Amino acid sequence: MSQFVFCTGQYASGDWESAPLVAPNLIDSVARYTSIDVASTGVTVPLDSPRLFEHPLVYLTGHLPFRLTEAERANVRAFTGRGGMIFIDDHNHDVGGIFHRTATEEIARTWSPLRQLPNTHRLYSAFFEFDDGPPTTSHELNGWGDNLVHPHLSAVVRDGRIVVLYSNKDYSSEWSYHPDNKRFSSVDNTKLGVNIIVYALTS
Amino acid sequence: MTARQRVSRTRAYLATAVAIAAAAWAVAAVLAVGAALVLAARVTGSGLPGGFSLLPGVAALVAAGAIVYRAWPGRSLERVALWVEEHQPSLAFALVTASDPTLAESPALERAAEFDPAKVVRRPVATMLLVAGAAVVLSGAAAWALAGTEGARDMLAGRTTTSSLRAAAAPDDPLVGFRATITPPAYSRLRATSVDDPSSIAALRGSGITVSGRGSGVAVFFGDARLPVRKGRRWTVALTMPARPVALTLRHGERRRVIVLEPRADAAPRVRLTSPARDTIMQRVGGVVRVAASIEEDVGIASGHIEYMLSSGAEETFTARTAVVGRREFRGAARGDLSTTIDLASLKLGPGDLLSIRAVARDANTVSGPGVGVSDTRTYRVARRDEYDSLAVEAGAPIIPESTVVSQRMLILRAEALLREQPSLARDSVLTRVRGIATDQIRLRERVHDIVYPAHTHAEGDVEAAGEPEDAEEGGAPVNPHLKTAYEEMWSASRELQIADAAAALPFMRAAATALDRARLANRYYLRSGAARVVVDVPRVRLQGKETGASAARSPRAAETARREIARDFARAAAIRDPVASANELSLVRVRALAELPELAAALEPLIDALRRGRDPRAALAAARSKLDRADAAARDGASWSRW
Repeated sequence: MSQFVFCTGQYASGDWESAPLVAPNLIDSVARYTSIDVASTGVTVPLDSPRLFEHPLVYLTGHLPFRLTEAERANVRAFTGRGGMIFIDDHNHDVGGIFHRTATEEIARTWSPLRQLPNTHRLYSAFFEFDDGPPTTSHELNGWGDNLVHPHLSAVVRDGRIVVLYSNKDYSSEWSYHPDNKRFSSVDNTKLGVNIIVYALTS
Repeated sequence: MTARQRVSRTRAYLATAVAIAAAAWAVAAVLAVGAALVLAARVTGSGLPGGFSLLPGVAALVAAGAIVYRAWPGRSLERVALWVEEHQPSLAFALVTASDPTLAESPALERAAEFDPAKVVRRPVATMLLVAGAAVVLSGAAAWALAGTEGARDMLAGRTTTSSLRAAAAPDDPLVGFRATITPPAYSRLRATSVDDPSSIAALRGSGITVSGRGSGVAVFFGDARLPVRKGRRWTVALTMPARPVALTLRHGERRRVIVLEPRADAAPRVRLTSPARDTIMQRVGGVVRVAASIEEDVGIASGHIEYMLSSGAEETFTARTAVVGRREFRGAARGDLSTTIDLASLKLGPGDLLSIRAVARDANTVSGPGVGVSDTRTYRVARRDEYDSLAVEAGAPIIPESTVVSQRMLILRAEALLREQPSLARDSVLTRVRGIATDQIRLRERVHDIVYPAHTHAEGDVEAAGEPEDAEEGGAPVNPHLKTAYEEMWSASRELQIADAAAALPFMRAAATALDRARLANRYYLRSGAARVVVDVPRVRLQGKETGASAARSPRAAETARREIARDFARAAAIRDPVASANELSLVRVRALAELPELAAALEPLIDALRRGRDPRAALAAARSKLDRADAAARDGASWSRW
């Protein structure tokens, strides 16, 4: 089994690089909790690049309009068609926000409309057990963004497999800190990220 | 009425009669030859080669031509006059003479050439039409007796096809000679079509399909579900084209016939934004943006518009508003253009704001749509005042503090003062002051070191022990080369100062100051996509962490299994010797391949067709195998975790 390299997707529109510390933080968590052979740095790959196919999971985020070019759309469709998974997180944490509106529209156009992912889905037990579904972020609790706690993630599921996982919960803000600072937290809030990576590697 | 006028009228009567007789004989020929072919098909019991289906048409042309050749006297009045003289000899060539345009009109000749056109043509025309009508009746009776009402109607409609002849060869088989009528959805404005004896039916999703055939006792299955069959003189089943490929199976006793239902998706409109051509960053807001887009659609465009989104904000707070301009209705046209202008000044754009423009078009699909086509987005961004020299202000190298340059100059001044005062100072005093300068130089060098080699920060005074890394830019943004030069010069200066040789150190110190100054004044260009690479010390994390589990190996993909199953089923189906059974099995393989391996599905169609029509299937079989081999090669070349 080849080494897992965390991949951040670069798209033509918007601020795809708005959460640069998510990658090292999740790499740290994967190394900390699992025996997955993980590369010590992540990579950034344009969504229209064939290099996308070297990675099983692609992480996308941003605040600004999320719109794909025709080349990007064709490439990510082929990517998910070949077994890849895309995790998209709304960095605004705002259902009326520009990223959410454009991203959900683009997902519906590229794959199909998002459906609510049940909190009993295998994603929530792929490594750690999350009995109540996705953990709530501090941004949801402090009223940031749309002032809502989103109890579910959304997904596009094909043949029983998540091909696109979509979050309104702003994990990009929640996880964007230097991994060395994890020692100051009583509970590691990146564990769901481990589940997402393990799910992408094993489903 | 003159003689020439009477001849002209006679010519009109004859032309009408000959045309009717020719048409009747053409019909009679079609029916007669069709009936003969049906009879021949029954006698041989296995249908006839495809070329025979052209015979009725050829016979119709020959029959019509023969009638025109025999009954039509010719276009000139002289030839028609001769025809009248032949049927009324009492005219004694007076009519031919009177019809000659070169002769002067003569009352006596006119009187001699007098005749009644209707009376002259009545008998020969009646005979001609009666014979033609009899031919039609006789051949029609033969056709009806051999092929039935619908068969005779098909012959007249020019549908004496190979399949209908094959149906004629097996009049009691309800699985042969059936007909599928496809009615596309109303929004498509396409006409209904019929196809005889199809191996597959390709139509827009939502199309109405009626399949009917002769006889009875037919059971029809849509996938695994049994469909109700309407019985009568013909069995009929009605269904709607599904969203995914499905096998429609007709069963009669132990025999079956598989038809592939191949839905054609109504693609969303293809929209191309032709203007503006590229993204733009503006320093000043003003002017008018001309927006133009072209639209193409496979069925028909319903409407289109230009949409722009204005987003403003920073950090975590963004607001956006969307507006639609240039809306246009296309009423089902296959192509269209959109054009409008946007006045930038009216949008009140501020620094950092983004204007995203795109074109949107909808088709008229009321079954699974509407399909929405969207163009690429063009973005206009208003630059902030502090970023006029850059594309982005994030992920850049740390700014060189002005204090560094100032400090280096101060050290130079201190060293120069020391050199001036050195002759009058005691040795210990010189050593104390020069070592003080050396310590400050080392501290300054470490500050520059932290900028040049950010991933190798160290405790104060460890520079000599650690040294600089081999790859200066590892894990960081590009570093100004002048800064590196300054660092090197400072290294040399501090070395000289540590051995109390201020004079030797001064050139290096001045060179360092010059390099720092150049670095400070250098333009700063930061390209996007240079997000900071934070390296995680994985071994260190692993040693401190705990092994709580291991991920399972990636299980085989469902689609990979599907590909193998298709390959296995294809091999089995191709190995069946009975062509009909093989075609049925290959049709089932094709239903699955349409979703999983579309190239193989396309290659299977001529193979199934060849097997059903009794043609040599070897070339089509080789082509299908080639497509399957390519799919295998693609699977082998995929990534280790990939489906294909």
